[in-house]
Amino acid sequence: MAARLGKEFMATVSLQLIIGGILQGGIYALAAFGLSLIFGVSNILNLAHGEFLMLGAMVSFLVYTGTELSPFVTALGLIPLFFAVGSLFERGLIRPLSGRPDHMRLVASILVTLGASIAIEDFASFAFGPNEKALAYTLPSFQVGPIIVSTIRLAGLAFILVLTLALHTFLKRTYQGRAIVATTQSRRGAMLVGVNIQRVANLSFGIGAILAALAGVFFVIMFPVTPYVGLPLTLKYLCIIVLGGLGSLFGTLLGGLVLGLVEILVAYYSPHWSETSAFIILVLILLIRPQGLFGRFSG
Amino acid sequence: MPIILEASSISKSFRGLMAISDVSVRLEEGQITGLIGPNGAGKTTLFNIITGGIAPDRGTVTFLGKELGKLTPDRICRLGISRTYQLVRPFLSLPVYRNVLIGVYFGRDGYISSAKAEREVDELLEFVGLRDKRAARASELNTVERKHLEIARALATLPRLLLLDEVVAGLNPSETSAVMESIREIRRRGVTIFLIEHVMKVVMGLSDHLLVLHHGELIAEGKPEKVATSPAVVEAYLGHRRPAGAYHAEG
Amino acid sequence: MRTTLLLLLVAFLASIPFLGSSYLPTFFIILFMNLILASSYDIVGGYLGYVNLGHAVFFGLGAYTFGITWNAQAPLGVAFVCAVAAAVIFAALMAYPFFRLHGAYFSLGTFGLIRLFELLAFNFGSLTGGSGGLSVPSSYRLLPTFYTTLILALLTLAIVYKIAKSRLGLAFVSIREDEKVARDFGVPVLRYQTLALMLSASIAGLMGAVYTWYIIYINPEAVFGTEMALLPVAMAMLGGTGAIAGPVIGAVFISIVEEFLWTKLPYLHLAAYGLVIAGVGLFMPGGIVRVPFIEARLRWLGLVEDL
Repeated sequence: MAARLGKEFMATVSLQLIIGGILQGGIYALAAFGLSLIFGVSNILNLAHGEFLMLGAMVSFLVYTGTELSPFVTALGLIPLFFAVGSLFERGLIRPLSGRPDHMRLVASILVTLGASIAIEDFASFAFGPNEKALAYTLPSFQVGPIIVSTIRLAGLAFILVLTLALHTFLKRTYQGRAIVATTQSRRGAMLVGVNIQRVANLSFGIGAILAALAGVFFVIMFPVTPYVGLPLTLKYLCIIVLGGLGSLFGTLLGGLVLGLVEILVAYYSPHWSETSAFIILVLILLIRPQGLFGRFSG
Repeated sequence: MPIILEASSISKSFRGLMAISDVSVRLEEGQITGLIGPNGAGKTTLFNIITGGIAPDRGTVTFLGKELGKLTPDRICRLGISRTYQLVRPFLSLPVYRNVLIGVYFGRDGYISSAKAEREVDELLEFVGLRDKRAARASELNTVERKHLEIARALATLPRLLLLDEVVAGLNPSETSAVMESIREIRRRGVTIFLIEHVMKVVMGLSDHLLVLHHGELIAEGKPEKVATSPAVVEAYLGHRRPAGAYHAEG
Repeated sequence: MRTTLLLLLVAFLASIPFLGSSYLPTFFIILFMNLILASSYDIVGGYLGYVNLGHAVFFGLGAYTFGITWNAQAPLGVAFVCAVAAAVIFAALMAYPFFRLHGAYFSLGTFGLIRLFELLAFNFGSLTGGSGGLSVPSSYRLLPTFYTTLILALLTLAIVYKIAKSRLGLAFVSIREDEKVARDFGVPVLRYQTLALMLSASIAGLMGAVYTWYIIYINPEAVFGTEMALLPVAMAMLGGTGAIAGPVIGAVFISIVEEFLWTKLPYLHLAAYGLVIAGVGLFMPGGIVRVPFIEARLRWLGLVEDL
């Protein structure tokens, strides 16, 4: 009897864990997917990517504390706002580097995006204060059998799912979307068939920023956010990109999910090691399979 | 003449696409051997296999009686095989003389003193006519000069065998004949030459021996005049239509 | 003339502790440390052409190895040797897997590596003290540290200068320019990559040990943190990579700017710092040393090589 109860308890816990892991993974995947797009199109390590997430989280926190507006509604408003942010970022900071030779461009892009990242963090800390912000937004949970389901998490999952489908449709069905995919596969090839690389790069930054900002909305619902979360998160997204295979968009999504699940499971058994898992996975993959777990050889 | 390089039954495919299929090549020492064939025939792939950049799926390459096997390109270079590239690849941000110096220092077996190395670099730059561009960055050179720089860099390794990948492509007639003269001079100095070339005048003018690759297969070889007019070659270049006049097969 | 100028500069630096201020030596220790890290980074970052965002791994390994071995009653010299050995051995081990990655991928991998080290240092508390950090016995070390870092800085510059002028440096830059071509022309690429990384690591590892010795207390964030990881890279790039004067100018610039901003600006100093870094990336391709006016002056001093 006791054993059965224990087993049932374990099953419930692990289901909860898995749902939590999938949600966390989904959030990772959203932001990492944007970074992967940018990386795939421009071959630029955008070290400021996590700042888009931080800003998205901050904005939705401010809107919520000011107006009690549901973060899910705010999220819709963030879409045009962050498209503009990302696209301006590309226009002002990335495009000027495009003519330089590869090695110089890599160096310059690290300086520029790193500098931007540090500056954005500090401005945010000045404007919003350096302390933790947590968005106390809750919805009533409901129970299915022995499992308590959090409505927010469910809504979050649904939102991510819808977004992924929308993105998938955009990339597969529209000209602009296909131009992006083509450019990530072969820059030269895309140029040869007349794709406007600059516009595609601009678009990928816009979309990347949107995805990161939306991830920020969910992030601030689940965890407290400080102005300094950006850079460490960027690093984690970079791990996910490597995990999923460099330049492979589908792989990035899967990579995000895998990492989310691994982290939650590791955290359950040994909280200290949860953060480490991303980087252990990263280094292991580099050692064993440099093309990524789900990736293909590129170049 | 002894055989300096022998490639036997080389095959290589990329993702299922056959680039080279069962090709055997023998290069005689001191000769100029030409390699022609339509685009995508596998010519550059064959060069890359010889220099060790690409490992063949099957077959062996033997150079001076030594099987190259799994030797890395840097070892093969030091054994005495050097090359130029179809699309020139100088070290762009380095000065001209340092481009050549890399060949002198690393491309040969054994140690060479700095003073001697610098002298040899100057001689080589003199030979290819880049003496006065010595200190310029390679990125400041035009295409013709870059090709000359590549030749100097290749010679700097003291090759026994030099692979030239379309050196005259893009040159005007007077530049072309200058390069042809250089190639003859290089051969006179005892270097065996294996060259890929599209310009027929150059191949015919230089080669002692001619090979024809088509769809990764060796379809003809022999004396240039014979090979160029053989039916298989004419067909490979011009399709099935029977050519008339000068190209008519002589059997 | 040039030699005289440089000798005068060295003499001036050596006399700083006698200028009566106890603040100046402290500032210069930081400056020398920044210079040492930036210049040693540049062996791999500027000459070999691999942007190693994990350079601080060597620094941190040196710092921790020194602290742990010294605390285990090893003689001071042995502790220093162990620190350098740890950094160099790790560099040798990581060379093969990491140099399979190129361009931005290499940077990405090394950036992940430094974060991994930070977390490992947190988690292996029994060895490293975890988040509580690691302390070593204290005593007066201001002047010894000043001269140690001064000598190490000069030594580092001498090594980099020697590399730049030698065929070793030529091999490095040929790899930076085009790895495949370098290999086709006889350069055993992996061997030189490994060598460059080990050289770079030995200096950073030694600096890490000196750092622990001087500062007495270290924790994972201080030696493996993101800021520490990016600092040498930012300094080298700011000044200009692949030229001996570049990292020096970058280190001097950043040290002064940080010092100035910390004292003069009550807030937003990090933002200003970030904007400066971004501005250099945008408007000064090749860093400060490649600004024509500055480059001409440095060339006269023989501090910019044709690399």
